[in-house]
This record gives sequence, structure tokens and C-alpha cells, in this order.
Amino acid sequence: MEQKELYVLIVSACATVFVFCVSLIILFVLFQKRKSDYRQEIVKTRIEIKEQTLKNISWEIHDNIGQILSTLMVYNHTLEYMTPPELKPKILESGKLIEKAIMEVRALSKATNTDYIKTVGLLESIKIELERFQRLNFLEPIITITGTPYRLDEENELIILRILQEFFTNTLKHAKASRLDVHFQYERNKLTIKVQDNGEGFEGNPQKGTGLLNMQNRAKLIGAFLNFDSAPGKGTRMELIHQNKLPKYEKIQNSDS
Amino acid sequence: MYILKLIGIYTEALTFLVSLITFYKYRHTVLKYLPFFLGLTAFIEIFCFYFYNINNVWLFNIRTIIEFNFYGFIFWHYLNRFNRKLLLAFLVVFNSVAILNSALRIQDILVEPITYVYVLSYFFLVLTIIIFFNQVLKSENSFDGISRNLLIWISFGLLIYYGTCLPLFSISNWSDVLGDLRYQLVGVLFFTVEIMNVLFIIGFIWSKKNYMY
Repeated sequence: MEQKELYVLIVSACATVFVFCVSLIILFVLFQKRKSDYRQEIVKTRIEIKEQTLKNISWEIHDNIGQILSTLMVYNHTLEYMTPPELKPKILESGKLIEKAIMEVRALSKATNTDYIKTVGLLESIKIELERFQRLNFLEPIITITGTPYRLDEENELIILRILQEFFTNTLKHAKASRLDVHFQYERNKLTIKVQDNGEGFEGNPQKGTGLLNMQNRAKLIGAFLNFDSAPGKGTRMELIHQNKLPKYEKIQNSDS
Repeated sequence: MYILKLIGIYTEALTFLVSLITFYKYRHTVLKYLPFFLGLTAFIEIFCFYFYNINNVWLFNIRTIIEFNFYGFIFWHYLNRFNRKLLLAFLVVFNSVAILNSALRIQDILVEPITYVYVLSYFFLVLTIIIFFNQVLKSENSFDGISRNLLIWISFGLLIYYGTCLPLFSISNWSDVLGDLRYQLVGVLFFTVEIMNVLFIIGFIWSKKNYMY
């Protein structure tokens, strides 16, 4: 074989392998992207199913348990008039307990009802949730707001709320915290939410926990940035940044900062 | 061609510098050994280009043997149990061939390119990268995590270089086989070196600490 022919053969072989390698890289990236999109779809579907379940539970709580408690309240009032005077304090006390139960059931129903959350908005829902924690003496919640509050897209608000609720649940279940600081920072192009508890905190990579991974996946779904910071004895801090794509935003009346 | 060679050599030096600057991103992973190897490669290239450009083939032969074992060591930490067995087989076969090649004097490591070892090392490295890609595709990592991962960019660079240069390194004596046309093949070689190093540099800059394996 002549030198030139051999040269052409080698260059052709190199070019062929080069094209093969580049194609391999492109295919790898495309498959990886498709896998990522597919996973996002799964997360989205899971969230939809969860929301539907929560809505059903909310209806059940409101229409079933709520009604039973209301009927109980009516019976209690009737008993109050019929009962001998020495038993009246007990009846009054049970009346108060039933009243408290109705209030808690309503609050729980609101916290789980997707439609209600969509109506009142993220900030109001968080306030209701934190008030419930305070009433139940779970911990001391403090909410601060800077900037003028506005509404986000309904779906985005719902996902942010579920992320925050997951953080609150983790704080109540694992952190043994006595204080929870929630800060909303409203800016024209972004909303930053910082949540900090004074609990036990944790060591290691926070991205690896299932709950935290769910929160990350949810944040990714709406294109929000989510970051955790925790150390043993120093509590846990979460920061969520949501970039507002729509310049048009609706102001809401609540702007106590 | 001289310019292309010069760019290739200095791109390697630049990659080494960038790897040092961004060292904080990956110092907690096994990739922390990467700057040593990149530095060694850049040093050998520059040293041989300016000061030791005759009969230096033994240096490149030894570097190739170290190179495959080094990348094998890196990928070993990221492959799963089954794939590790394959990599171990590659390493055993490669090192056996390298030792036998010298011991039986099939190709003299000191005076001529050990092409059998080159071809074997490039082929095995390409296979290892394909195995690694397959493992990543089956894993739970999201796209963001992948594009910000240094090892992925390193693998892209290695695949382009070692894949493309595989046919080139099957020639043992370039001047006898190709005559003056060999200079044009050197151009192909340095072109792929530049692509590989550009991909490495992108990886060092684009990767994030949190997304390292």
C-alpha cells in the first residue's frame, strides 16, 4: 500500500472514530436529559396525586369529623341546661374542648385543602400553619416580611407551601426545636424565603435524605433554588429562591413587615 | 503544524493551571490526584519539546503505562461492583501485555513506541468510559448533576482523545510508513489533544463542588 493511501486510511479511521465518540457523547447527554425530564414528570404526577389525596382528606375532615363535632357541640349546649349545677363546670369544660377541636379540625382542613390554599395564597397559608403551631404549643414561630407581598402562580405557590410544610414537619418530628423563624423577602424579580429552626441540626450531606430530596425535586419542578445548611447543635436553615418570570404581580393587602 | 503543536502543548499547561485554581471544588474526591497527572503530562510535553526532543520515546512509553493505571484508579472509585471486575480484568491484561512486551523484547520500551500497549490502553480506556456512561444512565442522577460533574467532562475529553487517536497509535514507525505525511497526522493528534484539554478546562470551570461524586 502506498504512503498516501495508508495516510488516507488512517485519517478516515480517525475521523470515523471521532464522529462515533462525538455521537456517543451527544446520545449520552440526550438520554440523560430525557431521563431527567421523565423523572420530573413522575415527581409532578406524584405531587398531583398527593394533592388530590390531601384534598379528599380535607373534605373528609371538614364534612365528616367537623359535622360530628358540631353536632356534639349542640348536644353539649343542650346538656348544659339540663344538667345539675354541680356538673355544669365539667360540661362547660368539655364544651371548650369541643370548640378547640372544631378550630383545630378547621385549621387542619384549610392547611390540606388545595383550593383553599390557592384562594388565600402562600403567605396567608403559612401564617395559618404557624398560628396552629403556636396554639398547639409546638414551638414559637416568628414570621417576618420585607418588601411588598405579591401573589405567585397558583401552582408555584402550592409547591412552595408543600416544601415549607415538609421543612416544618421535619422540624417538629426530628429537630426538637423551640423556635422557628420564617422570613419572606419580596423583591420585584424574586422571592426569597429563609426558614431557620433552633433544633438539633444534623451532620453530613443534607441532599441525601429522602425528605430533602423530595423538597429538592419539587423546587426543581418550579425552577426554584433550594439550599440547606445544618450542623449539629446549630439548627437547620433552608433558603428558597424563586425567580419571578412574570413581571406583572398582584399586591395583596397584608404587608406587615 | 508547528503552531498546532505549540497550542496543544500550552493548552495542556493551561489545563494544569486551571486544575490547580479550581482544586477546592474537587479536593474532597479522588479527582484530587488529577492535577499531579496533568502537571506531569504538561511537564513531559514542554520538556521534550524544548530540551529533549531526540530519543525521548521511552518517556512517552512510560507515561502511557502510568496513564492507563492512573485513569483506571480514578474510575475504580466510581464504578459499581460488577463494572469494577471488568476494569480489574482490563488492568490485569494491560499490565501483563506491557510487562510481556518488554520482557520478551517484542518492542523495546527504550527505543521504539510500544504500539501494542498503546492500542490496548486506548481501547480499554474507551471501553471503561462507555461502561461508566452506561452506569450513569442507569443511576438516579439528574441532568443538572451530570452537567456540573467534573468526572463527566473528563470522560468526554478522554473519549474524544483516546477514541480518535486509537488508529494513530497503531503505527509503530511513522517515518517509514508515512514519510512526510506523518507531520499532517501529528496535526490530527494535537487537534484532539486541544479538544480534550478544552473539555477538561470547561469541566474544571463549569463543575460545582456539590455535584462531585
